[in-house]
Amino acid sequence: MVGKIAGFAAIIILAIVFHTFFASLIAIDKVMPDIFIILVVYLTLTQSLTQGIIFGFASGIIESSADPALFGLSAFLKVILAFTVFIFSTRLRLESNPARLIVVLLSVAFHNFVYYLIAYGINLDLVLNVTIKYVLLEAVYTTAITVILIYFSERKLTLKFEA
Amino acid sequence: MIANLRKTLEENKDLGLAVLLAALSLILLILPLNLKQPLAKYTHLVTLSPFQGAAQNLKNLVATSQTNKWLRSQLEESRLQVAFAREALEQNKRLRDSLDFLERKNYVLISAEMQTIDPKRRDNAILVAVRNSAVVAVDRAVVSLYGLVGKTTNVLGNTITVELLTSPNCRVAARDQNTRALGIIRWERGQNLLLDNVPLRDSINVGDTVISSGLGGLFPVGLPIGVIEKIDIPKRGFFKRITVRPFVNFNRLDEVFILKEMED
Repeated sequence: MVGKIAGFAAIIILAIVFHTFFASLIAIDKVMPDIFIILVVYLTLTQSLTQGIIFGFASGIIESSADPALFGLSAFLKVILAFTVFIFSTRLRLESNPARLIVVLLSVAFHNFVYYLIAYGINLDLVLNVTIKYVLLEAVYTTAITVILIYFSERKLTLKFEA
Repeated sequence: MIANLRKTLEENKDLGLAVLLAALSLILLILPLNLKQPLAKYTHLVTLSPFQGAAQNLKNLVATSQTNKWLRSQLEESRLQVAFAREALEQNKRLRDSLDFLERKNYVLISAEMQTIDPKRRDNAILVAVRNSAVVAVDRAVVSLYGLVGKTTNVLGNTITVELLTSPNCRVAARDQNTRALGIIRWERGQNLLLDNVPLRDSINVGDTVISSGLGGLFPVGLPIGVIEKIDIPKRGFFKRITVRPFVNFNRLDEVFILKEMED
């Protein structure tokens, strides 16, 4: 149990490190990959719903702590996201990599769209502007990063197997 | 109904956890700002803030390292320029000797630290402090790292009043470094200066550097003053109207140097 908690804390710390140190470095015109959502989807699909939900809640609380007015919003959306991904995974076959990539793409798009819709109110102009940049582009960019992560994780597994 | 709900939740713990955490998030979201602000602040302080601080320090370190590298290259370049300048100075001295010119005066720099602006003459004068006021007198040229600042007008203890070039009373005999056209620098308006008394026939170009000519007797020759920004040819009159942007930012003075003639 202690090992599990330590492992979980390590994942959160790694995600924060990636978010603060590297995400801004690889950002393209302020569009940066959302490592928290990748991990929510990864934990929900490969570990368990509990882990996905707890990670979603914790990372959401941490992420939205920078903006007190929206404190709790990201956590709420990530918990819903983890649950939705789990429901879909029980009904559809999401074991293949393309399916997982589509899940990441839709998850980021859904999370960001609802987030900005609530953050900016029903201001259509603003939402449309933000939708293109921070919803669609960020979803695509996050998916591209996921492709790289999947590639490296599978390569590592192959190397382990060959050894 | 509650019993049924409890039973369902017990059977499906994941669903229960999801509902619980979603409800908790919603409560946090709808809490009044004055209640959730301390919560958010504390969470930020414990989780993101240390990492963001470290990231910022790392960025600063990289930036400092780059600045350091740039400064080193600048230093090398300056060293080379100083070596060339020394060589030119020696050559100049030899040539002046051979032509039997009068020997130029040498100056020492007395460093002075900016204290405050003169409360009576806000944009026109500053008060600076020197360690030893005995070596300072009135009507001495004052320079900064960038160029001519003004002249000393009053010495009171260790506090020296420096009249800036932006003062209407401060005028400097100057010339275009490139075309050698002579004129007089005086305050125009705002932070800009005017190179006055330049005849219409004299050639002068935008972008040329203006230096002190030394003809006024007060300011030594060759002190950089500013760069020519605009040249207007008036319909009437004999002189060009030349706007000069000074090298010195008079609102951001820190250390200045008072020039004192070197005694033999």
